[in-house]
Amino acid sequence: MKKMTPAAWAMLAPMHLLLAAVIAVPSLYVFWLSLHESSYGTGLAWVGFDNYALVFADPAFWRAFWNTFWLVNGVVYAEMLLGLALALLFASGLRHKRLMFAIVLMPYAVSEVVGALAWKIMMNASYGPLGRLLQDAGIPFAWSSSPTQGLVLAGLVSVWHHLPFTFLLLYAGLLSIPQSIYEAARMDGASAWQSFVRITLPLLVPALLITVIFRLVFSFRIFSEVWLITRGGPARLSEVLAVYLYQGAFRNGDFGPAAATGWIMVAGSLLMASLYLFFMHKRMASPHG
Amino acid sequence: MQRRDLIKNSAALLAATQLPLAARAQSGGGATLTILSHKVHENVSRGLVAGTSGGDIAGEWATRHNVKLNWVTADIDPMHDRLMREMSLRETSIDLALVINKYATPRLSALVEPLDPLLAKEPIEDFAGIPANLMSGLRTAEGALFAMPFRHATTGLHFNETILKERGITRPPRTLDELLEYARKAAHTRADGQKVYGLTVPAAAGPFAVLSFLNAFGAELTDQKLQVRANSPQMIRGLRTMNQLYKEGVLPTNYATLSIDEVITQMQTGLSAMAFDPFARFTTYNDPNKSRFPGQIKVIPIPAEEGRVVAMTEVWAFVIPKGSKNKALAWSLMRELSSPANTIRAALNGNGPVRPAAYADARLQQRLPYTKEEALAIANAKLLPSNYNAAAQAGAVFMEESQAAVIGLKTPEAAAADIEKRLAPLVRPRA
Repeated sequence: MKKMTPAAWAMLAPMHLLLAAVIAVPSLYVFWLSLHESSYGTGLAWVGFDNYALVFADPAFWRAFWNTFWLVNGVVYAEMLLGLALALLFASGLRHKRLMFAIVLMPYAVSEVVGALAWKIMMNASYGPLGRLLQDAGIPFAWSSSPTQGLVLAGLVSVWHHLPFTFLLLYAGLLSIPQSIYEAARMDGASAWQSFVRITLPLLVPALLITVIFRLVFSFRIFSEVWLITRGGPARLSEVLAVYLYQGAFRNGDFGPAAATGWIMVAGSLLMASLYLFFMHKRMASPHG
Repeated sequence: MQRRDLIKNSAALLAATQLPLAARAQSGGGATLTILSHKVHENVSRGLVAGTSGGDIAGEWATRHNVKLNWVTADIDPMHDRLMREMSLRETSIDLALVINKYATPRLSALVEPLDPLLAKEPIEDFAGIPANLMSGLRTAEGALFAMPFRHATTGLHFNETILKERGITRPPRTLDELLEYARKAAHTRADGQKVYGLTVPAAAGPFAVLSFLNAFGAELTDQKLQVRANSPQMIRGLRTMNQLYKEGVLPTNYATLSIDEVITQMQTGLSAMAFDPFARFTTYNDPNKSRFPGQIKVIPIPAEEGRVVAMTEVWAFVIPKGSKNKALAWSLMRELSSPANTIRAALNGNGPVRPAAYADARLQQRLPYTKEEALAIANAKLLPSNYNAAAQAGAVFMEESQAAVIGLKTPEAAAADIEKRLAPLVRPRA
C-alpha cells in the first residue's frame, strides 16, 4: 500500500472531522448521558452504570429485546431469500427489464411513514381492501389484537420497503460473476442447480455477507413500521428496542435509561455484525478455504 | 467567461439576493412573537377553519401591537418534547406555548414564568369567570399559578341517530345500563357484509377516553389528592364489562391500536354507532364534506349509574417560558385571548371555552346545538391529576394494563391490581 503523505491526510481531514462531529461526538455524549440521571431542565446527576442495571431489570426491555431479535432475523432472512430470487430472475434474462426494474425499486422511493400508514389502512379488517379480502377468505389475521401478528405485519412492511436495497446489492454481486465460469460448467455437463450451488452461491458469499451485515445493523433500529402500525401495542407487547427507547426518552423524559438502551442497541448490532465480519475476514484471508 | 466577468456577475447576483432582506430591515417590521402549540390552537385563535365566525383574534392583536406572529405547530407529544427541550436552554425562541394538563408537571412548572405577579400588575378581565377546578392542576405545590387555561376538551357520548333508529332505538341512553344495551343492539353486520361496531373509543391515543368510560362505573385511577384508587371493585367491573363488549364484537377488533383519526373515520363512515370523544369533535363528525352522516351524529354527556353523568376533561393552558425574550408581549396576547369576549369568539372558531358563561351566548348556542349538554358535562367533569413528574408514564401504565384486560390477555382483577401496584411508586402526592 502506498504511504499516506501529509497532503493526503490534510485532504482527508475535513471528512474525518465531519464524521467525528456528527457521529463520534454525539455517540460519546450519549454514553456520558447513560451514566447520569437527567431529564428536561435538570442537571446531570452521576449514577455510574445504574441506568444499565435499571434497563436490564425491566421486563419491558427484555420483551422488546426478544421482539427485536425475532423480527430482525425474520425480516433480514426473508429479504435475503426474496432478494436473491429476484436477482436470479433478473440475471437469467427478463422481458421488459427496465420496467420490471422500476417496479421492483418503487417501494424504496416511498417514505417509510407513508408506506407503513398505507399498509395499515389496507390491512384494516373493517375498511382495508386487503384486510377485508383476508377476512372474507376466512384467513384470520388479527394484527391489531395479537402482538405476534402485529409484529408479523410490521415485518412484512419492512421487507416490502427494504427489499429493493437487498436486491440491488445481490444483483450487483451476481453480475460480477464472470460468465465464462458458467460456460465452462455447462461444457462439463453441470445442471442449473449444480451451477447455482457450486458457482453462484460460493462466489456470491461476499455480497451476501455485506448485505446481511447492512440489513442486520439497519433492521436493529426498526422503529417506524412498529410505531405506526401497532404503537408497540396491544399492552406494549409488540414493542421493539427503538420504541422502548423512544417511550423512555420522549414520553417519560428519562434520558439516562434511554441513553443506556441506545448503547445496548449499538453493542447488540455490533455483536451481530461482528459474527458476519469474522466469517468474511476468515474467507478473505483464505479465499479458497 | 473572463474572470472579471465572473466576479462582476457574482456581485450583481449577490446584490439582487440581498435586496428583499434590506427592504424588510428598512420597513421596521416590529417584534416577532413565536408561539408553540397544537395546530388547533392557531385555528381557533385566528379563525382559520372555513365556516367559523369568530374571526382572527390573535391577528387583530398583532396588528394593533405591530407584532409578527410566528406560530409553530406540531402534534401533542412532539410539541411538548420540543417545548421541554427549548425551555431547558438558557434562552429560547419560544415566547408563548400551550401545554396540555397531563404535561403540566412540576418539571414543567419549574421552567415557566409564574403568572401571579403578571396578573397582579395587569389583570385578566373577569379572571374569576374561569372556574377554579380548571386551574387546579395548573398551580405549583405552593399554590402559584404557572399556566392559564385556554381550551378544554371534555368527553361526551357521540351517537349516530340514523344507525340507532335502524336498530330500533328512538332516544339516546339515559343510564349506564341503557348505554351498554344500546351498544350491544347497535353492533351488527350490514347486508353488504360490513361490520358495524356498537361503541368505539380511541384506546391507543391516551388514557382519557377509556377512563371516561370507566368513570361511568365509578372507577378512577387516583383521587384528587393523588391517592391511587385503581384496584377497586368499580374498576374491575368496568374492565370486565369492556372485555365482554370486546368479546361480543361490540368494541372494534382493533380496539388496542385505535387512534383518534381512526375513530373519526369509523364515526364518519358509519362503522361505529357510538363513540366516547370530546364534545368539540361534533363538528368533525358532522362535516358535510367528509361525513356520510352530516347532522345525524349527536352528542350528550356520558350517562352513568343512578342517573348521574360523568366526564373527563383535559385543559390546554398558556405558559411563558422563563427563557422567553418577549414576556410582556406574550402576557399581552394571553390576556387578549383570555378575555370574556374573545373566549366566545374563539369558541365560535371551534374552541372549548374555559368560561362557562360563554355557553349562554346566543351566537354560540345557534352555532353549536350541544352547548347545554357540554355545560352539564363540564359541571360534572374530572381533571386527571397530573401534578407529578411521572404523569405521562402513569397514563401509559394504565393504557397497557387496561388494554391487556379488555382484549383478554389478563383478568380484570389482575389488571386492576397491577395498575395499583405499578402506579403507587410513580404517583407522589405533592407537598
